[in-house]
Amino acid sequence: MKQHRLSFELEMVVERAYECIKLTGRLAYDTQLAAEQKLATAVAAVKRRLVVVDVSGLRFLDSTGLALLVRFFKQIVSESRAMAIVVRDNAAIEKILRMAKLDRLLPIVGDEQQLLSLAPPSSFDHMSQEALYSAWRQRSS
Amino acid sequence: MVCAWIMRCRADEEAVLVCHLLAEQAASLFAVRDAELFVLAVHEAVVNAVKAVQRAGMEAGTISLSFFVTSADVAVAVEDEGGGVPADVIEQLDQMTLSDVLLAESGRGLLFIREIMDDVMWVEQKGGRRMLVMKMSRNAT
Repeated sequence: MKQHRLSFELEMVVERAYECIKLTGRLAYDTQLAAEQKLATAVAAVKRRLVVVDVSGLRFLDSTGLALLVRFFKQIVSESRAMAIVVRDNAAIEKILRMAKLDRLLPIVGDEQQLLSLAPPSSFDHMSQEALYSAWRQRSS
Repeated sequence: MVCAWIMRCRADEEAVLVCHLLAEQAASLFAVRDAELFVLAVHEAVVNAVKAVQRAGMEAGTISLSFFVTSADVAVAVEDEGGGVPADVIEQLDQMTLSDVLLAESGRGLLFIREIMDDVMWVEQKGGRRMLVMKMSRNAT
């Protein structure tokens, strides 16, 4: 069995208006220990108010991985930050996120531009999760 | 019936990965309605079975995965030596949707299976064990 099938990687990129956390590989039962550790480290390291989790590089996401994403979301929001998910063209992962109803918790967008078009750039420095979600829902409807 | 096969393996992380690979192959070979979600459902069922064996403290416990292919659908049966899913959990499951576990950090696996597959049933086995049987239709050729 090829080892790369079992990997989960996390990369943090600080942008001007937000912090991007790029997830790649498998976020699943078989990578949960590594994923849990990396996500916990990422929560502690976040600096920007707006956190964008880019899941377009995920090859597989199961209920264990979703639970880790939900925990990450709760930790981000508990620190008065706001979070959104970027899927790009990864239709398989988007389908799972929507099946789990995560679009009732946070914005799920195609790319960062869709997110940044929701409000003036300066407003992201103090935007709450509630305000971000509300702006996204209004734009979507 | 087009074909059927059964695999029994030790209930551990390797079993989850082997069964995942088998599900991918079956989904592709027999052109199920939604290959990605079929793989996710089988994966969730196997993870559930492995956890049941581990909860029962059976170090050498096994799980079995069976595929039954007809011209109309692919049925998958997952059984474990750990007692499977308790009857009260199955009863609760009938009353729940994925919206009920929106912020939960567990409890989505069986709900995913119910959402994804065309038919899901629990078959009582000897000794009170419950085997999960689920079906997904095949694309018309």
